[in-house]
Amino acid sequence: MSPDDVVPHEMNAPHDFDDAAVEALLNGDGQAIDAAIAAFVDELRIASNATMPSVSAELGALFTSQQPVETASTPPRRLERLRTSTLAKIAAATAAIIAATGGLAVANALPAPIQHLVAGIGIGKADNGHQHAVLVAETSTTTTVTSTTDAPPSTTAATTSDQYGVVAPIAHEHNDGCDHGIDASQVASAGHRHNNANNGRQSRPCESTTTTSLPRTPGKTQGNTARTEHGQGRDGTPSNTDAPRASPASAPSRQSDSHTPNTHSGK
Amino acid sequence: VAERDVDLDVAVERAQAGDAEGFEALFRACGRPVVGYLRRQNVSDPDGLANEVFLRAFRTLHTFRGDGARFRSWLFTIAHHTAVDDVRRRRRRVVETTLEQARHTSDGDVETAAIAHAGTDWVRTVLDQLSSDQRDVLLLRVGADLSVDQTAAVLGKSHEAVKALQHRGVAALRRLLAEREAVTE
Repeated sequence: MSPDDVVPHEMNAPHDFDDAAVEALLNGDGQAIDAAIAAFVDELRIASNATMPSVSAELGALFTSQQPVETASTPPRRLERLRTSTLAKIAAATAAIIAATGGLAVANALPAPIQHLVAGIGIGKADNGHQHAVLVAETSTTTTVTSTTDAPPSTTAATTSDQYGVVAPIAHEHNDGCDHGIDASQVASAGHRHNNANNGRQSRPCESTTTTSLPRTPGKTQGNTARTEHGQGRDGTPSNTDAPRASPASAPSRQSDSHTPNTHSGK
Repeated sequence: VAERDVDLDVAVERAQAGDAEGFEALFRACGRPVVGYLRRQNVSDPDGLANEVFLRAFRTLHTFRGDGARFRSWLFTIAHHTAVDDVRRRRRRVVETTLEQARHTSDGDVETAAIAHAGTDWVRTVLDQLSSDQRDVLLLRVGADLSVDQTAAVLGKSHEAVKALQHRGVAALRRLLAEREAVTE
């Protein structure tokens, strides 16, 4: 077929009729031109308009307004549905990602930098050796973790300073032996007897505390030891808040003073 | 012609506004030529397909822009595509029948249909001998009462191509009708 949809062998054949004759024949005015063709065209026109199609139930419902038909105002509604659907999908995907990340964070299964990052917002523990954050995060709510790890420095510093003022004179007394350590520890943990862990530690033999920490952390570290024990005995707040202020060099010694080495090494 | 009695422009506007009477007016105006076109195209179920054509048109009427004349072109475009799809579907569907089944069918449905269309049977016979493009043009120009440009829009052809096809079609008609007259004499 040629581009003009004319059969090739008819391309150069002469037309039987000119344009006007063809138009007259097709419009039903060609009786004088060709009676047979005019009769055929009339018959075709009548046959083509003879019968109305039967109306189906669906179409009939449309004629009686029983079936909603999309009008010009419909596309915006469709766009709105599409937009809502898209937003719902995005929200669901975001919720799934947050849930998965949060679960991994609480389980401390995220890579170290990310774990440290999410610990900053109170989920899971930072992988920097703070036992308290781990304990609280794993056993308490996220809100509790936040208040513990992200407590304002000024508040915790003031608390630490006050306690230091009470505990330091006793700790610096030139008394040796187990009783000296017990006295300092009791003063440091005064008012926090509700902590079972602290109570349990008080009943330990004093040798286990003093002999391991004092020779390696003389001087100021001794005070830190007292404070660390206090922190571990209650909720760990001082220890946590002290951690960022400690120099890298002192951090290992403080960790070694801690009574939770397995936790640090394990994470 | 019945559809000319209806103001298609108003009917289109009313239907686009969701007025049920607008839909019915369009159906009354165009139902006959649509089913006639489908029937001459030898579709399997002209009435059913005509309903399908109008349902498609009414459900997408909000996308249509134009007046009544353009609506006719648009509606017959849907009808033409529906007919083409039906013919293709039937070509793909090869049904195996036994000789007995074929005899039973010829004794029933075909004869009944032939009797029902006896008055226009010779029109169908002649049309079937035209090429499909020529038949399409003649059906749209005569049966649907479309202009050359409207027919070109429906078939997706140029104005000149449609004019050439109708020239060939009329010439073929003249030859076929002459042969038919010679046989009957």
